Amino acid sequence: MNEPAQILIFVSNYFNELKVVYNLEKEYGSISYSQLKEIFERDSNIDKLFEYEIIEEMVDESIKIKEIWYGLMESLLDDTSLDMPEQISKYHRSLSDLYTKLKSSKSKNEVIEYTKSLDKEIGKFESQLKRNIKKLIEETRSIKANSDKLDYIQKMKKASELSNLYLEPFNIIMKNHSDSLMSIISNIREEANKERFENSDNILQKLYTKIYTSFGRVEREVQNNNRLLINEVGPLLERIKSESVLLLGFNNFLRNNSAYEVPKLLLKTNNKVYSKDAVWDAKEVWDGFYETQEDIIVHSVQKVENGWMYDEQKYLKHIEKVLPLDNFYYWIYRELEAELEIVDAKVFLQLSKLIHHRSLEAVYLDLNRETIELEDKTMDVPIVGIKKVLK
Amino acid sequence: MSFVYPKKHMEIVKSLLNGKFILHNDALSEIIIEHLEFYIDFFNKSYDYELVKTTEVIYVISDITSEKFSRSIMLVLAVISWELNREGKNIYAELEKKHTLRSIEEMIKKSSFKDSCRGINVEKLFKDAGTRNLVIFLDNEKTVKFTSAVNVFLEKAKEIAEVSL
Repeated sequence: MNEPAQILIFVSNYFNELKVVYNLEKEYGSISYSQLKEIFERDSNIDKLFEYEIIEEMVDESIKIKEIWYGLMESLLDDTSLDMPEQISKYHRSLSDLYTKLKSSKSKNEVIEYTKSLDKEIGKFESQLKRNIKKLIEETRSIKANSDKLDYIQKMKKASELSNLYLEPFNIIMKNHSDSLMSIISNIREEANKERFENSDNILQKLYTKIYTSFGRVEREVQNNNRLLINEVGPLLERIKSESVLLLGFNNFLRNNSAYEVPKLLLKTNNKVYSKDAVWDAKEVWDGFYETQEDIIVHSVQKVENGWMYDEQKYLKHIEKVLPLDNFYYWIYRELEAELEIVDAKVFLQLSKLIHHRSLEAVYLDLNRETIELEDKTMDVPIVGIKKVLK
Repeated sequence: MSFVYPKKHMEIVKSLLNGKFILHNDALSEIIIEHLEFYIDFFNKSYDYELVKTTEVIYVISDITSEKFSRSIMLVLAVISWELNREGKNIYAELEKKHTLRSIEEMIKKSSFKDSCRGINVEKLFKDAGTRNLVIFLDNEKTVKFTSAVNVFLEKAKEIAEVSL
């Protein structure tokens, strides 16, 4: 058997070459012998890789790094990727199977075998779980720091993807219901706890104690990690999504702000709608009206005077009352003065037309004239008498 | 029977007509919420204004909007958010902290989007923002802190993002 230290020295000396092999396998799934020959100068080194069981040949002659070394390289290069939740949930099945087998074990050897297997399986689960949580946190933080220089849409998509693909199924797997992974782990721990006291066999007692310890530890680990996911990763992803939307909106707005509406706000005006006490005044008036229920009388509206108008019939009636008349123009003046107080030439001349009415006859007594002082004019008029036409 | 106005009616109407955001931790907010239907109707019938109630604030809007102020605030907030993110800071947490007017001016100055804010007088803008309860002034009027009314503008940014997606 080869000395472990000797193997590690070899790995250390050829780590750069092994890294190339690792990257090829990561990309293409396996590597070929000819690729190995290109990477390693000497064939003897390739032989050593087989001898130290670092690589192995598959049935189709392709070559792969052995799982344990691949995992080590992955871990050393910090190159782990998130396992799909399905990979984590496969432990649900394996742990549950082993537990059933342990419960139905007939011999001591069987019990030893299944307890050891359970211990190994829970160990694998523990490291995978830790690795996944660590990776999920790292990925989330890297989106937050935006080390990959993602734009906002990409960033938002990535955050949604992590949340939908890993976080939500992860929480379901870890949920504390009767058939969940957590319940199986808890049941095994309980069983181991009972057996480590009740079993009379010393060796089995020790094995059950080991199981009890490791399952208890994983249980706490799951609870802590679940809390971490709920309290840290979940809100962080939500915040990234929300911040990305905000920044995307602001980014678009800054690039062409006139293309977008802004929040409507009230335009402040200087109009004082209220005086200081207007509200109380209004209330007083309102209350006054509200309580007195009176009939309101609306008075008929007075006809507005539109100025003097010549009304032939009206003045004909007036003049008929005073006939016969010996000074027509003086009568006009007195008639208008009584009605309007102020008599101007315009109304004077209009009413003068009455003299032509067919029911009146003008009588020129002599050739004397007289002057009448109007508001705006002095009229020189003949002295005319009027008598009624006899029919 | 006489008509009774809600308590502090005059203060409420005055504040809202002055374009103020009434914050939910304000005592006036409780009165408005208690008489929400009355106030919606009151502003609609009296002024043809719309009373808006979000989870954070209450304010009134009209068709004749204070466009310039609103746009300037959006631009300044956009630049601040952009710069805070560039510095790797949590935008929401940072917007809750106090900022000096000088630091805001500096952020705008060094931003690649500074041209968008050309012509904006930060001091005057924030003074206006102060009268509207969008910010509160601390330490000799040189430091401001956004109130929860800032969410009206942040929500608008999110709406813009939704349109572009």
